[in-house]
Amino acid sequence: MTGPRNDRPAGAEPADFYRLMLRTRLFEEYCMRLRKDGAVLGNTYPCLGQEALGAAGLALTPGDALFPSYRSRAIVFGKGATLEQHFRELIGDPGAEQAGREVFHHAAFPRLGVMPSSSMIGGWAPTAAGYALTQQIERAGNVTVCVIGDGSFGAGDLHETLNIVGVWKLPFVLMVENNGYQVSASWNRMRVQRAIEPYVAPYGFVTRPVDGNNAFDVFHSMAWARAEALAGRPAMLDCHTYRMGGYSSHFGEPRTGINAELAEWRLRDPIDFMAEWLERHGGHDRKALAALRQQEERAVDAAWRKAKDAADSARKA
Amino acid sequence: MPKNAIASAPRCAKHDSGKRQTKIQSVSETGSPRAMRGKKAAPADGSASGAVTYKDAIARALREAMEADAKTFVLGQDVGRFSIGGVTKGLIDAFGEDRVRDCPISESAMVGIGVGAAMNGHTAVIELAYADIAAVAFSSIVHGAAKIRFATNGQLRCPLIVRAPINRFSRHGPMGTEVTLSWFYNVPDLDIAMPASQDEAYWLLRNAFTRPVPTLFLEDRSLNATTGVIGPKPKDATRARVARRGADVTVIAAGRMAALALEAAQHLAAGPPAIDVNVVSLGTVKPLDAATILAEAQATGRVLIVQEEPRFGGYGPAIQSLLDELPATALKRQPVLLARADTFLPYNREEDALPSIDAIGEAVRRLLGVPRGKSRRAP
Repeated sequence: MTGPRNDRPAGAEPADFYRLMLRTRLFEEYCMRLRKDGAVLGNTYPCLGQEALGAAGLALTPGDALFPSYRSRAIVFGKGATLEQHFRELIGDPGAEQAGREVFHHAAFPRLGVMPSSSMIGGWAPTAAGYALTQQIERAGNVTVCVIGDGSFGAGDLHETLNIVGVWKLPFVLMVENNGYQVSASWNRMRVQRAIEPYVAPYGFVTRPVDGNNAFDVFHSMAWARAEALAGRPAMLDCHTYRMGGYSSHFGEPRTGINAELAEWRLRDPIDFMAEWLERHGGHDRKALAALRQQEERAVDAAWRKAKDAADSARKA
Repeated sequence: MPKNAIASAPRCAKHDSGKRQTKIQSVSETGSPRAMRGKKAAPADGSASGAVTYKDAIARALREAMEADAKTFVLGQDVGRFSIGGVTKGLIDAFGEDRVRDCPISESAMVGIGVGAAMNGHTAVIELAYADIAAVAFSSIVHGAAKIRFATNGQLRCPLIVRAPINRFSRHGPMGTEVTLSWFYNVPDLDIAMPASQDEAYWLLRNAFTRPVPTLFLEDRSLNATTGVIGPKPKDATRARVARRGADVTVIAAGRMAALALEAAQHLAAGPPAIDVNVVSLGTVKPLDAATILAEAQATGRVLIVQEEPRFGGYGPAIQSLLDELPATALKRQPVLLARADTFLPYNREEDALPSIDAIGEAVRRLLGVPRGKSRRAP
């Protein structure tokens, strides 16, 4: 029994899920334009199509720690980081929290429980486990969420970590952004099983497949995983989703022959799904939804201008 | 071609073997160490009264640091009920299983776990079975531990300690006896300690707990049974120390090489001709104590640097480049680096590849231009 999946979550406002996902997509698209226009130098790793995973951030408490992947913008927003904070890191503003030292998709916001990300795919999992270990030692009643892509399953450090987490029963949640691709390579060329459960369960994890394009399922699943992990059962969420864009802004679409997949997953767009739900069950008509979109568009644009002004005036000073 | 003369590592005498290393006395400013094995530890305030072994000094620093801060813990293989290296013996009874944790063979994850713990304000002491194993934890040490403070602009700190014992004369061969200092030497924000004495071992390990950056602690197991006194708390434990004052030549080294240099100095003082050697024991090899190195180099005008690694990395070339910055007339001779040949360390005759007491003595005599003395054997 793994609890509800599609029910309206108690204590959460469905419109917030919608806004979080919209904000994430608008932000990612905005960053891609900035990069294309040469307004920023840094590359981004858009999570287009994976925005529903952000609902996981809404299911966490401030004391829970999040170790995001480089493609976890939605979850980082869900954990409370702002658009302006992100833009300042993207600019590399000396006044930003990382002071321009680290790429923006690795940025940490420790006050929000958002820990750094890393280029060492899989090699960062032990760091999350270490944080979880201190939570266990302190009996803090908090968990650590480690977000990885399914490509990480090739990394030895990840397996070392899963073994230790299982043995020590750490308050640890492994959240897998299972989008089926490692840059250009489809999952079946990189591992035998699409599902993650066969790899993780033997290490002592409870597991749950998640519709990664359904924000409600993501939210409920994280709430479940959190409770399991706190009860001494490390949990893994296998969030099935699809990357609707390129790997990064470094280069164009690296995958070939994906038109049918794209068409199939476009029908399962997480933002459209939530808009439909809000129309049917949430008391939002089209006009109200359009107003929410406009609000988020303005917020993204305003955050960029504010971040840019701050960086410009810092440069002049 | 570097301007510094190259002194190739001569073959050492047969007596300079592993068994003999246990006779090496400590490098200490506090006077001549008493050779008392297993004597009761000095008072907890660190004030000198009794001699301790090198290994006990490390164990004591670890235990006292754990007593002082509940947010400290030990990770390693066989560090709990069975303390394989002996340094963690008894810690599990004193601090419990939460803080003394036996790990699977997952060194990279062990270090990574320490990094994550540091993010939440805990200090982990990772015990590697021996220094060579640092290779499989390289990414976690470099990309994880060392970079966190820099990357987050100081939002997060990483006072992590990786104890990586050098397995000198343990008969572990090319994968189990290496000095791994130079592998990590160009990594910023990573402190590296190579204690030569009980005093250095104790205070450098205590000091590592106070640092905002990780420390690679390269203790040398061949010194484990040596005895000496832990002196009072130094003003700055990371400063190099003059282990022996001398007027003729300055020998700079760290770890076991500093201990050997001190012994070579005692032989050289006996002459003939009597040579008065100034021995600088670095203790902390990164960051280098440039002020002490430059002052002591100029004090005699002649410098010999001794290191156990080949000459293409490590503190030897780093010190040479420091000395290169001095005015041309500052030294009487170009500094010389005595290093191991560019070879791995064999299972059998490991000592042949390493600088020995005799080789140090010979290099000092050559620096001074005095005739080659007879091979001087210790009593």
